[in-house]
Amino acid sequence: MRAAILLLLASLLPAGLAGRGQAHDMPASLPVTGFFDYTDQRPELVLRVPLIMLTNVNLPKRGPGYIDLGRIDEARARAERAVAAGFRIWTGGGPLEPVAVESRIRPPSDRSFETSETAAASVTGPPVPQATNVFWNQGFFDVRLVFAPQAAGADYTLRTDLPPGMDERTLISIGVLAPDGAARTLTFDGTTAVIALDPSWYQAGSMFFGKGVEHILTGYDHLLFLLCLILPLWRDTRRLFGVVTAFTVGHSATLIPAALGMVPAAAWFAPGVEALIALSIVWMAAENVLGAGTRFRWGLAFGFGLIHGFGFASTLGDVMQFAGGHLVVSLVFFNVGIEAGQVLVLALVLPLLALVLRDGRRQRWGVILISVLAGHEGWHWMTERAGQIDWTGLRAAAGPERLPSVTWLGAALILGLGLAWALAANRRRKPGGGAP
Amino acid sequence: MNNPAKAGLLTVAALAAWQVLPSHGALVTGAAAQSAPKYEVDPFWPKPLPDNQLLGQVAGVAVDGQDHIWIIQRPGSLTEDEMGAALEPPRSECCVPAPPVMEFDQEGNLIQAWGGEGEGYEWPENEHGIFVDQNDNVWIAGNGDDDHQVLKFSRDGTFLMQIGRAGETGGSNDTELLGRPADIEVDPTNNEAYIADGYQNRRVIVFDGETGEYLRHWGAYGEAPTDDELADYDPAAPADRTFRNPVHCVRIAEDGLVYVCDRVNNRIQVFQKDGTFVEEFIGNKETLGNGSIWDLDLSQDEEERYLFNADGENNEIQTLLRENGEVVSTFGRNGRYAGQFHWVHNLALDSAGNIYTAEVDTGKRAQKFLLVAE
Repeated sequence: MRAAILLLLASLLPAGLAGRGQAHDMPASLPVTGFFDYTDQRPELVLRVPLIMLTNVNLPKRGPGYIDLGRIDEARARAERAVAAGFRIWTGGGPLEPVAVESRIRPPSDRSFETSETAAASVTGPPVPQATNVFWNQGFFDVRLVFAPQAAGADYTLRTDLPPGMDERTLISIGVLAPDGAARTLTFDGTTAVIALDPSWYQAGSMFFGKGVEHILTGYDHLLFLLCLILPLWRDTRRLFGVVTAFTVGHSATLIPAALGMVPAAAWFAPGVEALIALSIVWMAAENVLGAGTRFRWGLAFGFGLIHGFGFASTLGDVMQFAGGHLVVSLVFFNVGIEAGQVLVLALVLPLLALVLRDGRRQRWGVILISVLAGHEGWHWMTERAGQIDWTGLRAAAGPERLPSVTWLGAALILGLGLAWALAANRRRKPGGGAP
Repeated sequence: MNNPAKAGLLTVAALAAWQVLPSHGALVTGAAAQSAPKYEVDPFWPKPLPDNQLLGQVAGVAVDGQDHIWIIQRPGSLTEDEMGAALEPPRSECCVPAPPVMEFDQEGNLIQAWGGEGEGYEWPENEHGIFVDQNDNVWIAGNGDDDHQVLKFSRDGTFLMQIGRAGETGGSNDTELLGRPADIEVDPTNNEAYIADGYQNRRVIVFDGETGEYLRHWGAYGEAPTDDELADYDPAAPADRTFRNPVHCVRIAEDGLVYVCDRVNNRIQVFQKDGTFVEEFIGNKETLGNGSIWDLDLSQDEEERYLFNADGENNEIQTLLRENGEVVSTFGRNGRYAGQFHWVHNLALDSAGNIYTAEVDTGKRAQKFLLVAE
């Protein structure tokens, strides 16, 4: 009955990829897989689209709802056009029109899209026998779009045009096969309208610069740490410059190696870093409240900077794929973007601090008040994030007999840092010590 | 900077260490060797059901190719006080029976639910097994007194095929009719449907998964099944040459071995796909009552090294080495808290190796167990 209503609805809609009208019957995730191969100058795109995305195409049916594979040709051409319109390849000269199109219907059990070779073979291979029962919304529509030869070095982009309601559910995974033998997989959702399949260094660089700026401006924990770091220093330009530089050097030192995967992949690592970032806020806030000296703050800024660098890198996990062959350039631009965002924030915050903390008495209480608020927020983040650490995995990784030592090592590290700071404060106090 | 200030800062550091490090109970240390997979219950799976729905006995659980979890549950098993909102007039605010077939995602969100009587098929009186095949079709079985049928649906609940007929049964060698079938598994390599048949018959029977055409059947030790009356199970007596009722599960491994639950006989019999007997593993032999081999599934490593058995009489999940049937670990115990079981009836693994369980009688729930160490 439900299928009949859907068919009726579908017949009233223009042929194309199903849209908002069917959203309530759409699965939450619509995986589209494929390969873009431009190893020679005749690029091809092969795509596997879930049949349920073609509801509007109204494939002919038989029996309880099986696709009538004997009467499929006309509808198949409509489906090919719908897919070609939804997933379009562009070069600098505009959209490419396919010069040859082939398609097949395959049941859900078909695994041929696991490699580019088997995918291409499946789309050009024999169709399933006409008697095969493929239920109308269970299975795949495989399409191969072949384009006219292009000049060597053409820059290709994939532009998706999916109906609202379907776009955010569509998860696209495209294997890109380049002439130099490189193979990369790009994974993104259907709301990402334009994807550079082989970005130039400046395309990648500008994209990652923007991501760096965006990351620091929306990274409230990093901003809160920065605020606590500079709070007592807003008038001391030399020290201010020193700590901000030390923080920058610290996070730059870890960001690039971490983004290149030189960190533990275990489930406890990322939440552990996030918890330590929150701890850095609590720490700086506590120092500000207690009126600790700022002479060696650059050292703490550097140390915590190392940890924040891991945090910056962890956000790059999903976007590194868009760097193409320009990983290091992209990371450098991402870091530069973070610095630019940081400078922008300081340019806004310092005058505000100057305004709020302008006289001596107000300055002390202002620093305490702002630090208490920041430290309170940091404390909540810290406990929340510590709760997300996969302690069981950490225990399994460390071995049950070794974990207590890891625990105590961490505790000793934190207490040791505190002790070192206290001793440093003592040394600072000595010249003036003993005054009545 | 004075001494109290130092002490204050050190206190903050100590508190941070306390919060960040796992010493306050986030970990349970144990000396168990890492020789078998370890599981931890996820008490938040599934999420609360929409529309005031409540689960009855959850008889079956299966995982599909998208790692969605399907259960078949028994709306008819709810007591009046459990379904007070569905009475006329309503006697309480909660609840209404949920539909029998329910699909959940990994997070425990309900994706869809359907099932019940409809045109063209005979819905069972007492829902039992569920399986989702390689083409996303959903198979269900029933074990009520007159339930001698297996039904096949599309994933959206459109009826596709029925094997057997309600109210008609013809014994363990009938090639058309079933006898209170318990469970189904479809071989993805050739679309053959293997049926554990069942609560009345004493056999495995295989049909073509598309046409429903009979292909073959066999009983214990690969012999022709018999329906002779049997004395009660006695662990000291010689092993039965026939399955006892119910033949409760059938599972196919990637290497082509077929595992069958001979529940009350406390044994797993292993066959080739053509019914040739290979070997048997004896479970908890002393278990009486409902027996100890309720449902099986295989681990997700390439070799499928382990078998997991739901033992609904002793109420634990056992991990067995597939090569020799040795039990290498167990989890769960009798009880009603998260992670415990009452009549754990079925289990299934997702591609990440997490285990989902289904409980009947007064259990009436599904649970998820996370694989935390391999």
